[in-house]
Amino acid sequence: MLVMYPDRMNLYADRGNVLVLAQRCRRRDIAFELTAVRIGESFGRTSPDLIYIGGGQDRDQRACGADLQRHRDALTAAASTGATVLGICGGFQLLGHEYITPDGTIAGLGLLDAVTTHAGGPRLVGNVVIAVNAAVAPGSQVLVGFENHQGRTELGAGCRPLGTALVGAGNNGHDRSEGAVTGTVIGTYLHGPLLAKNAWFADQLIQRAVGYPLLPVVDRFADVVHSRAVAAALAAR
Amino acid sequence: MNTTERDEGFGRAMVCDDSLVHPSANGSTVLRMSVRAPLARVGAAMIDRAIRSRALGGEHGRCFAFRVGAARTLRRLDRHTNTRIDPSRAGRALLAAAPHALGTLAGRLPGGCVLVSATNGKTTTTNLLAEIVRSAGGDPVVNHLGANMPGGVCAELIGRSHRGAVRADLGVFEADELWLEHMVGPLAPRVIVLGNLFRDQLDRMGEIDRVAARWRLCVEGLPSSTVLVVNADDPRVCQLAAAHPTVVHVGLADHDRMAPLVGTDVPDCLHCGATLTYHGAHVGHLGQWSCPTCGDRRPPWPTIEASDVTVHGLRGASFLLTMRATPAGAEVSERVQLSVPGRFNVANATAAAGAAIALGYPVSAIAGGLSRSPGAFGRSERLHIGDHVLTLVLAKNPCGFDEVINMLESEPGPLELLFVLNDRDLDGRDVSWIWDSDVERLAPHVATATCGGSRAAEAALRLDYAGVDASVIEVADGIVEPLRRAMQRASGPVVAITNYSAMLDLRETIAEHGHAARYWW
Repeated sequence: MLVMYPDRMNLYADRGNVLVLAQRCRRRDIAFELTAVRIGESFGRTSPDLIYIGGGQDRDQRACGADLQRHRDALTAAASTGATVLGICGGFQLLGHEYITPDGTIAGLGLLDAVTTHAGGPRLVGNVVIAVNAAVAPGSQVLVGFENHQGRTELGAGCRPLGTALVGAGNNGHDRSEGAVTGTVIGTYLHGPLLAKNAWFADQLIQRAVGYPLLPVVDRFADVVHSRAVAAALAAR
Repeated sequence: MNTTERDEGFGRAMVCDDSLVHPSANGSTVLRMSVRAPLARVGAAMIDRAIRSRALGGEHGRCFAFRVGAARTLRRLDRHTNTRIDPSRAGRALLAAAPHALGTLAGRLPGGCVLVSATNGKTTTTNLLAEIVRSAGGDPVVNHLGANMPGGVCAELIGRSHRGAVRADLGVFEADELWLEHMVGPLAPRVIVLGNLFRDQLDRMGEIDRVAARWRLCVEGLPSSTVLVVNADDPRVCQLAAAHPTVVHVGLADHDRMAPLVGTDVPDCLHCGATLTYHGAHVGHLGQWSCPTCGDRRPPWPTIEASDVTVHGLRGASFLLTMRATPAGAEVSERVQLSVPGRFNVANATAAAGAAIALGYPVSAIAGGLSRSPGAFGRSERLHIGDHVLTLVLAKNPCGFDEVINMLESEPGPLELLFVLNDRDLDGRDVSWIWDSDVERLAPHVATATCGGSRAAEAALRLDYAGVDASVIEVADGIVEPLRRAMQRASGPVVAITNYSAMLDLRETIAEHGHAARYWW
């Protein structure tokens, strides 16, 4: 697993996502190796199975976004060979085409056909439950989390939403879409951390990386956390 | 229901019977309370309306005096009603009727007042400073309960008001970071303590750069006679106060890290925008900062400096306090034994010492007052419930939680944990910050863990993934059940880690069983 800019794009417990993946691998005796790329550094010879970009404050996003352009080829190549690229919040915005703000536009990588605009109006904050797109996860699966973003993201024809928001605003507050998926590139606004609240999704990411079906882990708490979070969000709607 | 206080060297403890663990009917106390409370509540509501009423006349002179008297009665009545009543109600009522009240009442303090503001540590710093004042024979009026907005401060002044005077020597008040600029005008403080600015509760405060900007504006408007006590270790605070002519710097010379923890919100240089570098850090982004571009750096010789810090688990901390440029003109060092724990409280102690120096208090009062201070409300406090000892520790963000983990690591013996997490509005609604803290360091020490509060399952999950054996983790909903289970399972003292509303709930529960003084007064 490769985390990009862990020192700057880490605003909302992104570390938790890494911890969850590490633990769930460890419990299955799957080797887990974590590397990081900071501003000015290069990928080197690593060929990660999962590349992660977290969220950050505006000025961190600006700085990292500028640096990210150097890695455009490496990331595109990784995605085309089947590695998962997961961007959360600010990371999601940077995977799109651009992020338009009053202080100027931040160019993204365009791996997702999405454009984000820093809108006037209220911040989109609150619990989110989404019915996940069947193409991403067979069966009717649900992702639960917490959103907190000023940016409004509109999706183009080249990608599909990660899911439909049953609770919460989602990408832009009007079309019920949440997140975006193109091939193995995923973006979402869900914090929580995402993988702590949705162990099934963490397992799916691991499964994609190792390439074979996983045995379930004995986990007293992860499923309880997921079902309680979903129930609480639906009840408060 | 017997409760007594006992001095234990490192702070006082409440000693009570064990009916919380083994509940039995205790009807008589309950009955007495249930008759008095509604009567008092009705009376209080009537007085509240009366204070605000225009029928009482204008807002000055005898009408003002009358309102102040009524407000005093209202405040006293609030003691007998539901403990959840906002203790600043009397203050807010008076301010609604007479907006000048805060300035007028504060003006009656012969020694003026001190304002203390910071993201973390306001209450502790305020209480430490108040103890120093008492050590020197003074009588401060303090807003004890963290009621740190104008209504709360006004309520405290009302409490000491008598026949047109305020019976206290000076005021020591903590001020909410966003309200500081509004209180500086009416209160005209002699000294303002700027402790730190931390990222906290993202969905309420917004970005901290905005708070820093407002503080900077506030500082620019201050008369040069106002002394600023500034935390040299916090670059934002230090730089925003740089233009003010009268500054007392305080800080820690001791660092337990070379640089801030990964993931810490490290500020950019306020003057040139460059990323700061550190050669030494302690809590969060506090430490020996410097700017590689413009050369600005942490003042090398702060007036008050703490060094040689030893953390004594949850019981306290000791350090060498160096005071430079004391009223006598020399540099003095004295060993201080603090009964509030953790490195962060050592930083709070230096801020209190800095304010005391600025007020002109002697060195003997400073070291003595700090050593004599008990633990402040709710942050880290020891309760005896029957045969059990319960220590309450507050953690509401990654920095604070890391400090708690630091302290717990140096505690002797295995840990019996009670981990209570709520998600009410005042907690910030989202508890994902628990993942930003290094709970892994705690895992090897944990013997039993009971999780409670509305986010009990997530607390359990965090402990599980941190490496705590799943078989020692129990989950129970609410407050009473986890508390009971934790104490039943424990073979030694229990440490309760809670976030803000969970701490209020826990104390409320314990108070209802008569085990701790109702925490408002």
